[in-house]
Amino acid sequence: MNARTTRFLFAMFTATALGCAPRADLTNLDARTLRAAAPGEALPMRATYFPSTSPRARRRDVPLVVVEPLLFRREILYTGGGLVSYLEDEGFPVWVVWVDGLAPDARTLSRGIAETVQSIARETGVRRFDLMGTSLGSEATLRALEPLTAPGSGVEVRRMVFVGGGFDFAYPHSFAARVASVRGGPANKLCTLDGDVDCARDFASPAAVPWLWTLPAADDDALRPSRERFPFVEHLTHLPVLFAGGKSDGLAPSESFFPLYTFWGSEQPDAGAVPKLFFLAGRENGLGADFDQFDLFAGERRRELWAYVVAWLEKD
Amino acid sequence: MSTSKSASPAPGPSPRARRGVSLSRASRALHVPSASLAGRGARGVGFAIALATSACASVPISIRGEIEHPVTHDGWALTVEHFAPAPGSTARKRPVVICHGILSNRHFFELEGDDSLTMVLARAGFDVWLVDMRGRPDAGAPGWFFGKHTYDYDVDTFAREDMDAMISYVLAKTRAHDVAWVGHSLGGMIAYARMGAMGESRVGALVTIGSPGMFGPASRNSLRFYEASGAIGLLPAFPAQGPAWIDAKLGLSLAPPILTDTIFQTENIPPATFRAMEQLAVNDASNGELRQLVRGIRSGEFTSADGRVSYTQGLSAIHAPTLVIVGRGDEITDPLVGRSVWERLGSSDKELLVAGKAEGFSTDFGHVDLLAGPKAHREIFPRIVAWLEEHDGK
Repeated sequence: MNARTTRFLFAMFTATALGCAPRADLTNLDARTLRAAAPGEALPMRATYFPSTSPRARRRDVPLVVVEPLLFRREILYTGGGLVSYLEDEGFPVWVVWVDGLAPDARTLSRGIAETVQSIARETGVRRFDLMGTSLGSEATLRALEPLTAPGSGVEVRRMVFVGGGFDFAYPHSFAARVASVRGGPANKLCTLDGDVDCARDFASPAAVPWLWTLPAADDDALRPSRERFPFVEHLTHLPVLFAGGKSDGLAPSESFFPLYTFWGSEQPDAGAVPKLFFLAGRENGLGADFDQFDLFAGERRRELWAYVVAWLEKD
Repeated sequence: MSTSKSASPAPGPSPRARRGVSLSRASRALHVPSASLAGRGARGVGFAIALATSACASVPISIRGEIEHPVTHDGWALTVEHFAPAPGSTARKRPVVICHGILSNRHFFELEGDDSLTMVLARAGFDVWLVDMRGRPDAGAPGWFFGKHTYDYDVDTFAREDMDAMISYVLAKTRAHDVAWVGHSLGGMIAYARMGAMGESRVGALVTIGSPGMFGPASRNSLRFYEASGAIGLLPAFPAQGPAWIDAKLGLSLAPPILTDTIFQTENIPPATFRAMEQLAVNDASNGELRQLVRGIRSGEFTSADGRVSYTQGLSAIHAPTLVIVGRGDEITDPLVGRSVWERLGSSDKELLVAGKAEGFSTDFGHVDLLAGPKAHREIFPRIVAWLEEHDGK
């Protein structure tokens, strides 16, 4: 058994079973789950609330909406010291937005995400949110920003975070160009695309089985430049955004989100005036290792990245 | 441009002759009398003895070419080292000029002997020319404050003067129409600057390896470098050569881990190669070079020293076939930079090669190990050779 497998098992099984790592409160989930549907579509969207029980909760009055990663089952967010558990522990009230069943294409899903956030606002009376897109769910989350930031949306997105999201695959051998070879195939094929020879064993856990059929299609749209696919981003000159990715990520590598980072708020001539930040999880930024896609959510050092994200979210 | 024959011993007929580093040369490399380093009590005496003893040992480079010294328009005698195609190899049309990066010199491409890129290309039939830009021990050997030459140059000078002299010299010797330029890091940056903004048309094919034609968002490490640059500015040059040599000889870790971690993936460089690199292939960098690069890190754009010419914008004026190679683990030239450069190039024949595990390589290559170590020999060099063979001119 290699080191990676060992740490994975530690993270995904042992810690969960023994309760020796922070975990989200998974009791009464149904009672805390909001059911929504995108208008005109039979898209069973859900939003589950994880109220923080941490003493630090009082300092947070802006809920964080986390859109599921799609690449992995959402359980990876809560179990075994997952991201949501960590955020709860840090005092964040968290809503996890997810789709009950197979995720549709990113455009349809984005409408569902926007509607779900608006439903949360209507139900709770809270209008102000931070929004986080994770992994392959990032693209749909980005698309949802367009209606959510439009006048009359009924909500205000205070800060936007993307973790492990790729948006621009218009270059040779990109993830979108290579993904056709694994769609519909066994999940561990993704390991090849991430450049991780060991991670195949990780898929022994049902919590880490990706939904391969939801991967972005290698069609003309996925291979177009991000400035053509998401033109509204140019106008987001005042919405603070953090793009966080893994230095060694082969699925959403730096070059797949840097163009969108550059384009973000570019309507403002002074790029320095746009509140945006780019962060690669790796040794060059003081982290203990260079992260791949899986490391961002289930790696041994994942909390090093999450601590950075939390610190950024807590800035006024 | 004129040339002057080497004052050093004439190159022998055998390319396999061994050579080493003499004590006097090592002392010159340190730029300080070794005794001055030692005169600090008993510890200093021990240090001096160790230094003197170890300096007597030479570090072999097992390959050797013919050395000559092209002279630039502004009077610097540079160095080219010529390796002819291996006997019996396929004849190629275009000579290949290989240029080192900042803080380095031509020996970087010789350290691994028969496995080096130099010999791999020579065996593939290429006429190979290694170059030393000004500021190397064999190319002007500037003094810090006095002497015929001082550190009064920047990146623009390399592009304007040194690259011009090198290409003119190689074309005159080979009577070729143009050259293939292979540049590592800064060696590729000067090609971007000269080809994109100075009208250079004598480069028929360009290979850049870890060369930032623009700069991405600054990492923590690059910000620290930026912060340190204020102190660096107090000296005419960044003194890398002496400390690296001492580090290799005495095992003193003078280089902070943040520096070594930044420039290569440690596991990809064999210890012997690393030691040889420290002793022979590390060079000081002028304050002007560093200031120009810091300016780029700050602005995101690779510009002339005065900021008036954007070499990043000039990339669109480069129409020669170009291969852009970047390592996934490279902290100096992240793949996002490689992609941005690749997109901006004006050439219709351009290729981007990201060397990382996700792309099918055995490792996420770093900045230096793209060109050194067994993994580079197996996985990077064949790609360079194949591309140059495909773009060998008419």
